[in-house]
Amino acid sequence: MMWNKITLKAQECHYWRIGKTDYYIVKNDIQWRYAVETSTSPSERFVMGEVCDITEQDMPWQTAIGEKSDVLQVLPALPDLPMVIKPKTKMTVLPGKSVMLYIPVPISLQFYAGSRKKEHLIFERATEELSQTWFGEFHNGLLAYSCELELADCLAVPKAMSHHIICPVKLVNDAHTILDVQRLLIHSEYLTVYGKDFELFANEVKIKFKGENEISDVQYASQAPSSSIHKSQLNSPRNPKMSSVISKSFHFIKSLSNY
Amino acid sequence: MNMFELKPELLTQLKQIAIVVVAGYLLIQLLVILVRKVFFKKATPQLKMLITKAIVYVGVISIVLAIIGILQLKAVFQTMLGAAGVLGIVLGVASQASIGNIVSGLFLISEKPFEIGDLIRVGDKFGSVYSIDLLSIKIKTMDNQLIRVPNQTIISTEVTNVTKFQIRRMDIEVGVAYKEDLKKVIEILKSIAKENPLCLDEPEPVVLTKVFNTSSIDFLFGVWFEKSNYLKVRNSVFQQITERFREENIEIPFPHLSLYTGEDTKPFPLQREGEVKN
Repeated sequence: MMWNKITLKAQECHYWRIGKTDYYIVKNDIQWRYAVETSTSPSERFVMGEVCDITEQDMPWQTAIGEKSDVLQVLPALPDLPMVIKPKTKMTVLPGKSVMLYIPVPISLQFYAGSRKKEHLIFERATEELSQTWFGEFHNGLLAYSCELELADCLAVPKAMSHHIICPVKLVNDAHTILDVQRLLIHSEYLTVYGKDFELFANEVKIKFKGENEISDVQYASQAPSSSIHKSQLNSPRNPKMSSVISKSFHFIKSLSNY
Repeated sequence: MNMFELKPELLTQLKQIAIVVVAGYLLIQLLVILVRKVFFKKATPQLKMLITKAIVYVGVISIVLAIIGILQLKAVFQTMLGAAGVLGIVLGVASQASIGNIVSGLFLISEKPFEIGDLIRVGDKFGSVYSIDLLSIKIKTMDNQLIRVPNQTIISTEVTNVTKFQIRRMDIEVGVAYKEDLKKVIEILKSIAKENPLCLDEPEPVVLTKVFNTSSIDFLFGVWFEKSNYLKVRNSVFQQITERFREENIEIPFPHLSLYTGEDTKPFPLQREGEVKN
């Protein structure tokens, strides 16, 4: 199992390579020295906690003073801000129809000294740097990460999941008008991570569209999605779990950037 | 009787005063703590400061009144009330400006154009709001100086709150040489904003051909960002513009002057030192 706890020897460097990012960590008593390096293109070979030989000067090392523990737990997490999905090409959902989308979201890695507790977190870094965006109007919007996707490619579970967590999102058009999916907001901070190795899923989100100027009804499933073979929970949500919430989930482009 | 010996009534009064002062002080502290715990979770720093001050002022006045009551200074109290009218006129004349500031302060509190910690510009002064008091507001400048601005000035002057909203736009003026392909320049500027993760994808960056200047064609390049990322965005965008323009051989011109010898088109021939004339 890739996400099991590993035992570290003093002064031994361990190394992870996921997506575009390399992570290094060395433990010495209560000192946890770590470094993160990002490349421009994602790596095809994944490395999970291998022992490596790195000269200290080569890396942008940082130090965290933490638990005096030999155990390190690395966990996959969803981004620390909501995600705004921006379709590359237009997708519409006709009235009364629904669609299931499997949205791939880049993994963020969390490194815990000892066990998974908020106060034991040494550091966290995303495997891919996400671009920031604004969802909604100027005065009452929300800061989020932007993710441009071809929604037509998200209609089935991807075969190779690489460094992504799949968020199943069911869009239900409950309005009498056509739903033009221009911008879709996913509150990833309320989602749980399930799965094994790199077959990672979040719990299903069901969004009921009720009209362009109406707020949507959003429901979060409380267990692993049916599309996930492995049902075990790997990480809990960043914010206390919500089973249901009424929020703005769609945004329709007017003119955001008037001069 | 010893001259230092206190009368039993006076001793009782002193004991009562001590109890009132200590109990009053403890009660004020308790009230402040209670209010902080119960109401302060969602309150702004400005409101917190005002509530704390109000509790302290009301508490102190109550203690003073209680002491007057214990000492049975009815006559003193009545005289004070009588003199209050005259005193009021004297004080009113002497403290016109202060009263104006207090009234302006009340307007500021109700209007709430800024809060503690906001970055504001008042006239030529720029800094973060350090405190909002009864008579003035204090601004901490970027180079760590404290400026006191009377509330009346704030009310009557144009105040710009730079950090009121979560996102801001940074406008950068970029000049390119007349020979450059403007379409290419626009594409490069757009890609710079797209590549920088701190520049927001939406609202979209503004690229505007602004003016045919003396030595350059000037563009307005406006990128949106989350307000706390100001320095990071400013430094990284300037660096990106310089690097990309260098890579793409786009000239950022400096002001230059051509001298003409009287002919319509040919400029005055200049030769740099060491340069061989063909």
